[in-house]
Amino acid sequence: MNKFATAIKRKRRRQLFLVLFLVLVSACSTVTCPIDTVVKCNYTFCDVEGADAVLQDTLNVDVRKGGRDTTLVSNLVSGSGFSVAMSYYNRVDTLILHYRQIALPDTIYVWHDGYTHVENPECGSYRFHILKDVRCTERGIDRLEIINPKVDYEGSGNIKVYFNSFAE
Amino acid sequence: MLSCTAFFFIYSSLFVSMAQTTDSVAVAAYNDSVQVALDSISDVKDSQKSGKVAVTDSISGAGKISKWVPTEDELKKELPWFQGFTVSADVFGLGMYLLGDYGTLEAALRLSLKNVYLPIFELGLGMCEHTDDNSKIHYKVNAPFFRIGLDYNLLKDKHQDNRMFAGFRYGFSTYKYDMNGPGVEDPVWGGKEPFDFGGTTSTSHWLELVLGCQVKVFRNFHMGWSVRLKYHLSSTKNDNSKAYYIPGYGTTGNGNTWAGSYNLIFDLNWGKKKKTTPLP
Repeated sequence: MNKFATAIKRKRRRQLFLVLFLVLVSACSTVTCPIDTVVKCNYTFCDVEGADAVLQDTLNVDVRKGGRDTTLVSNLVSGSGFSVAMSYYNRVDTLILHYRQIALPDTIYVWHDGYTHVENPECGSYRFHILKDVRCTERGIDRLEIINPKVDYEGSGNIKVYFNSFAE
Repeated sequence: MLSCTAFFFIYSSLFVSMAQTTDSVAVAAYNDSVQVALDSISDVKDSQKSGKVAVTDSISGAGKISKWVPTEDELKKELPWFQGFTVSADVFGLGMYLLGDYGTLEAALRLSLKNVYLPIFELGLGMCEHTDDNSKIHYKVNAPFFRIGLDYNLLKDKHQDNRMFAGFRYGFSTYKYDMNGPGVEDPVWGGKEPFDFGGTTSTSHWLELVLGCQVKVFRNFHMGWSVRLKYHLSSTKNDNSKAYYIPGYGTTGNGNTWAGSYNLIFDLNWGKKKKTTPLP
């Protein structure tokens, strides 16, 4: 009987080793990289009082680089906001907002500091930004406000755009 | 890394099985009554009426080696609190460093209390130098780490030299790491700038759950292994980067991490009952 009990104990020890081995082989740490590789600055629209609003117009957003304009947002209809990339290595970004109801566009100037962020070498590097100051012309825009100066891939709102009349 | 892990655990499991077979005669005597154990021993001589039995080693040959087998009364006695120290070194971490990008040099000092509670202090050096194939980001760190913990001997018979234990560790490390890379190209405005984060300081804390065993090979020399599940508690937050490898913990990802060790152990017998009775 005791020989049998000893044999059972040996068998259970072998089974324990096998289970531990399988668990060890199957367990792996994983790295989940952010889906978006480009970090964007998020603009949200509101009316003059500060309540969230929808723009009652069609909007196109260009960025100025090297004297030429490139369209980043095209024909935004009844939008509540937009997201645009920021320049990695420039100190100030220039955005031009073209309206359909207003003849002349608005220009937004955004001063920012950029820095490289590495979450994990397997994911590569990202460019984050700290917003320093924002200014604009006042054709359709009443004023701008920085609500979150840190621009990263978390996706939170960064700048509030207060429109004069055609945002509801 | 997984193939190395598999190799070490296959090897150690075979080794433990062999060691257990060699000591199976003495183990059977410890666990059962002395009279019942005699039935499983191939060559036994009853030398004295006191109950002490001289046992021959069935592997090396009859009549050459004798061991002291405790009587049933002696088995029931509790061991004194202090049962000596063991010092050990981990070879698995060194093997990982020689075969891969990171690893450890690690040693431990373990105290035995009644051969039940096994406090342990581990000290080591974590090393990593890694360049990612895709991003070309280079990471380097060499720093010490410390762990302190307690294990519990799971085996029923505390008088034997072999152990199977479960326990926990608290680990921490303060280190400086270097990270540099080619930078990222601006897809809209153009331009690219490399980056270099040299000497970034960080402190990390973690917990470990440990399961392992230790087997006597000969005299005071033991070998053993352990598997560990590590939980990262906290690390210093830096704006620019997160540590890729934490000395003593391992690589950081989005979850916890598994690890293992294979130890060469020297048992400092102190206060243990070690007595040999020569054959008549």
